[in-house]
Amino acid sequence: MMRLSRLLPVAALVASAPAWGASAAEAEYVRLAEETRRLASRNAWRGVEASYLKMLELEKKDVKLAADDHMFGVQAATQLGSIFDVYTRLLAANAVEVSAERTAQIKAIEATYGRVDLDVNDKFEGNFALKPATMPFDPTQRKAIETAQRRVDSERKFNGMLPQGNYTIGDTAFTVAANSLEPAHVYLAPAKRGGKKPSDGGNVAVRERTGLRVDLGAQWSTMGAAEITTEGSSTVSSAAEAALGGRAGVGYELFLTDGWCLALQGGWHGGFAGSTEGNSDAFAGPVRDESSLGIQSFYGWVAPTWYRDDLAVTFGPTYSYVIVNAPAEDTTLGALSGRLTAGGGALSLFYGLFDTPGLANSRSGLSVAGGVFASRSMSFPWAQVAFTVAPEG
Amino acid sequence: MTALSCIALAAALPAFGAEISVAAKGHASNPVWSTDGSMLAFEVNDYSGTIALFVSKMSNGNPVGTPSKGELPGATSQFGSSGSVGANPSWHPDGPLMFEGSSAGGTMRLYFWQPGAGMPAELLNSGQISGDLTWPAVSPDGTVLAFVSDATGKGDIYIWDRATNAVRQAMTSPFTEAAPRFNSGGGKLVFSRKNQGGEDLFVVPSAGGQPSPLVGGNGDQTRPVYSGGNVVFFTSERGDGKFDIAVSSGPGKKKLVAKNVRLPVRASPALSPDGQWIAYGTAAAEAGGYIFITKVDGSQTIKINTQLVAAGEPSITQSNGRTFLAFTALPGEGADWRRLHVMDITGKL
Repeated sequence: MMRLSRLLPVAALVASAPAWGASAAEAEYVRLAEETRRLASRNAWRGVEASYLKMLELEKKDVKLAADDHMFGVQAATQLGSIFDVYTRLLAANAVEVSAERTAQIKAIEATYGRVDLDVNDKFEGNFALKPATMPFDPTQRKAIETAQRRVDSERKFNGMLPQGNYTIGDTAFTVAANSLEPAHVYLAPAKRGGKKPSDGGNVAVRERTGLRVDLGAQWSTMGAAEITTEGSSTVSSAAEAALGGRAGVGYELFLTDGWCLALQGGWHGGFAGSTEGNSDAFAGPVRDESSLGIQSFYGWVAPTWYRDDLAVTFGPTYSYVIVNAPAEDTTLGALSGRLTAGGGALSLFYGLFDTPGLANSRSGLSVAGGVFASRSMSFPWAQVAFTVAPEG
Repeated sequence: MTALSCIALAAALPAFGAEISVAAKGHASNPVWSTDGSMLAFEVNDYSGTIALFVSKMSNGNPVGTPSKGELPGATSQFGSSGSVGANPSWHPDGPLMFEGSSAGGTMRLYFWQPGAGMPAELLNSGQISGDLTWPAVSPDGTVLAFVSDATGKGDIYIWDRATNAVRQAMTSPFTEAAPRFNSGGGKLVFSRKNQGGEDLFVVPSAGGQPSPLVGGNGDQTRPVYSGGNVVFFTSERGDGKFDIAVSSGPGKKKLVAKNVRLPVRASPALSPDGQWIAYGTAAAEAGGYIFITKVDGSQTIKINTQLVAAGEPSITQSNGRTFLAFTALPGEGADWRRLHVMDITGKL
């Protein structure tokens, strides 16, 4: 028989687990803070940046960074040429402890730099080199421009801050204005798509969010109660419930205007194991039939999409052709079988997480969707979590 | 007492100045006004290996707030910033400050700093030009920088162009060059060259070309600065460690305008903003409390009584219609550290 005393250390360990986790995070923070200072004293700014980012991760574990920690992040970002990071880290440091010097630095950045969002379509084939009208003397400003130039060259996009002034990206001119946190958007579209030309001001163009839309994931559907009736070729004679299934759709999103597109999609919805409940007055409880094919439906979806950066919300009507085969074991209690058509609607929230491999101007991520399709006699509310491929916004 | 008599009395009073102090202990030295007179940069040298650079905001000759210290990136560690150097400040026409800086034991590099807007940033990286970088001088239009690098083991003058971001050597020579300064048009550089034991002055087109001699002689002809078409410089031609200030109006021409001056730690002769006056302290102990201001042509000299000891390292600016003189001096005989002072000398020049 195991002695109780042997369990005590385990019990104590379990009881102290949250505190241990916190102290471990604190210890890691102390280590990283020391490492950051050591690296900074050696001007090893990439190392400082890495340590700072690790310290930021510790904030998720309730570790509070000191203003000085953020200031090392400021130094690293300055040396690496990311002024927007400098700006946000100064704000973070000031959020911990307001300082007149930091406030002056924040104001100086706002007075000298402006936000930009540069985006070159992967299919754009022309010159897209970023050039300032005048290269500044200030090495920090130069570094900010050189960093943006490298990003545009390697990644075809840059979202950050540049010194105020006039620039060109390829043949497109744009102006970066200080004291404005609203980014100057510049988008270079492929010639064949006839992307919107920059305005006379030269600093606003819009990426045309167009491309393949694929949703694939598990879904949960239910079948609501129904009257005993005959609808089309189907016989509806049960109240019913349903379980897990799948939903897969393939379609296309068409650009409408900045922030809006139109999604067209068709797909399959179903596959869950059907089950019915008897529809007798007594509602004798669910009667499950393992051989049931459940509900198989094919749908079409036409829906406007609102998008901003990696977030997209799509909402619109659906139309479904439903094949039902969910017999009850006891046929006297009723069954759901046959074919019917159903209207409905669907809402999807998508968030892009990474560039879709092998597909230009496309983002992959997760979406959650929900909707309902309904006939005259019964409705099928459903919800889905899906892996989604959508155009880059 | 009427307002008029108050004004008359104020005008008759000696021009007492403000003292600009910092917590750091050391000799205040090398004050340099910004182009608009709104800021004053200076060094504090503790003579233990650390030279700190400070900038004080100024309003009507008075310091505003506490001077900002130019901390080099990475120069501060848990061991402090001991041994770091920030020195030889000069102002870019657009406003920011340039200076020579090094972390403890590190290489001397050039830094660019907008006081109050973050930390100084290294102007040129080691991939562009290696070695210790010194003597930064920017062209009047602010687009070209001349400086000295010892990358080859001796001092060579290099030119960095803002537009191209390219660094090139101003000229090739087997000698050691130093102290380049642009003329008002930016087309010429005057500099000193270690030549047969002493320094002589040469001029070279800033776009490139062969240097031509300007002034030679015994001792050193050093730290030249343009004043219109003339070049003002220190000369030790008389020997005995004595330095004078001379003006050259062309090759081989040299005219002494001030004798036995106190040689600043690093600076060239201090010119008034219009380039017509030269300010200096004297090495003569009996006149050590005075700052002298002499016309470039030598025709007139003004004495400013600081009522302090061993005054020197002057710098003149004009701001809001007034003329201010910054200088360093000992507060009294036997004092430990030189301190920085500013006097209003409006109407004296």
